[in-house]
Amino acid sequence: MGWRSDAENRLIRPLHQTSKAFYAFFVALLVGIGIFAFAWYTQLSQGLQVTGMRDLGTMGGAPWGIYITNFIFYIGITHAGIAIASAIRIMKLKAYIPIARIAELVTIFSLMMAAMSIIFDIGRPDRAFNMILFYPERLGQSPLIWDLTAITTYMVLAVSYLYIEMREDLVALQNRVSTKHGKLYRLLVPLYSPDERPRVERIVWWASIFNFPVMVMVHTTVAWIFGLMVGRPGWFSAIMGPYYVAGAVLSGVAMVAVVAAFFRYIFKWEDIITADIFKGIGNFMTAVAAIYLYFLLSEQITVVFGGPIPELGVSEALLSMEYAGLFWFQVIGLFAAFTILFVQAIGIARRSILATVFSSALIILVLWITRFLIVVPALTRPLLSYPVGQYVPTWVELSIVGGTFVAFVLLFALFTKVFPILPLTEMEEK
Amino acid sequence: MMTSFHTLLADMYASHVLNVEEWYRTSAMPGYLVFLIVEIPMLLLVLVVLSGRLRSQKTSIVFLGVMTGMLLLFVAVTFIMSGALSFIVP
Repeated sequence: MGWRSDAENRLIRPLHQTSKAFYAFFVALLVGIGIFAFAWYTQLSQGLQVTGMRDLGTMGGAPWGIYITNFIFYIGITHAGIAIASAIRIMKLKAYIPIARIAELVTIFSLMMAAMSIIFDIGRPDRAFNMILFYPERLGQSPLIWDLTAITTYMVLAVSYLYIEMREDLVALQNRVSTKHGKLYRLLVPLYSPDERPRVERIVWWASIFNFPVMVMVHTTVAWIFGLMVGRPGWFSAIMGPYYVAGAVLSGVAMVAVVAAFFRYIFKWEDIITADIFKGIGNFMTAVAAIYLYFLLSEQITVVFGGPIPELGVSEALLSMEYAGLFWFQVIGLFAAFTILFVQAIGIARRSILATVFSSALIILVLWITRFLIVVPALTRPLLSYPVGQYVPTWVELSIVGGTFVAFVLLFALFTKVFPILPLTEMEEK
Repeated sequence: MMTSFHTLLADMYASHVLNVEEWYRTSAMPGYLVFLIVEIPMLLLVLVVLSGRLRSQKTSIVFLGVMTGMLLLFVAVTFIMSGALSFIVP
């Protein structure tokens, strides 16, 4: 049965039905955006003094805080979308096709939030264009430019990928949605020919192949910002690259699980985004969580066993001093999420979508904290004889970071109302 | 955050962990490496789309058009955002 039948109109229900609850939700999101805008305006007009960030050493602070934490977190999340979508297409994992577009959108919206997090962090965001103007001469020296390279490339690839595989859906839906939607769709599919499907599939297949090195490099680039910093205790380490990629896989897949579960629940798509999809995601996360826990253990054991004094200082801050609460919450939270997933994977406990989604949400929270623990403690321990630094985020930082999460949800809400969130043509082929 | 970054650098320098020249030299390598690793797959993708069965197809033109458009859009957005923010930042 094709999706064009009336019975399957519910697949495009978000496009032609808007409930009162949605409007209420939308207004709540706009309020969140308002708070975010006020906080950002405060920071722009008064400078970074309104944040908790201070210079290392002389000002007894940490020069990076939750903006950079948020940046790394979102870069991690971006992994999943394109990776899942690419894996589905390369390995022909047809059962997972319903979540392919959700995954792609997770990537695109996370990339936007990651880029914005950098803008929030720089003291003169009005000079952001200089990154492009002086690109060639800065490429060799500025990690910020590496990020610009990786993020821009990834964004271009992700949007092109999403667009090319969505074209047929837009054509097919032109006469099935409101006039306004129809006009927009017609505008968005220039040079369409009815027999383009095989060519689209070929382009998407090749793009899926090339996605992987770009994706791995995006995360490794971020890892190298820290891992190649020779003189910063807690950062300089060969494990940073794989550690970040594992964290990215874990947090990204967890985010897709949470978003997919949300859509499944709201639109009653239990027969479309099936329990088997969550089973597969859960099994995959079990393995990656185990690897991530292993990296975490390996990193700390190496330092504690024989690390130099500055390294031990950072490790001590994490294990038993001011960051111990967050560190141990991270370890326990990750282990709890792994256990919940593991007992389901090996059949000791009954499969539960709720448990899988809970574990995923826990992983997302824990990995945000993990990023904080990578960035901040190392910056509070100067090598010179300055006092230990302190960092406490202010309401401005918390509001701006919170605003990125609101914006992430808002973008999903808007997309769902304008474009099909399910890959209809591919589902029909399936 | 340049001031902070320089403080960071001075902290490393003064502690004899490394010197500035060495830092510049070592930090240049991954920059070029990142560029190559990220851009070579993109170049290969463009070549694939421009060759073989995909050559001279409308779909290929659209795909490359979207990629180029996205890149230009990114530059334009950064330019507009920088300009707009310059009115707020004192």
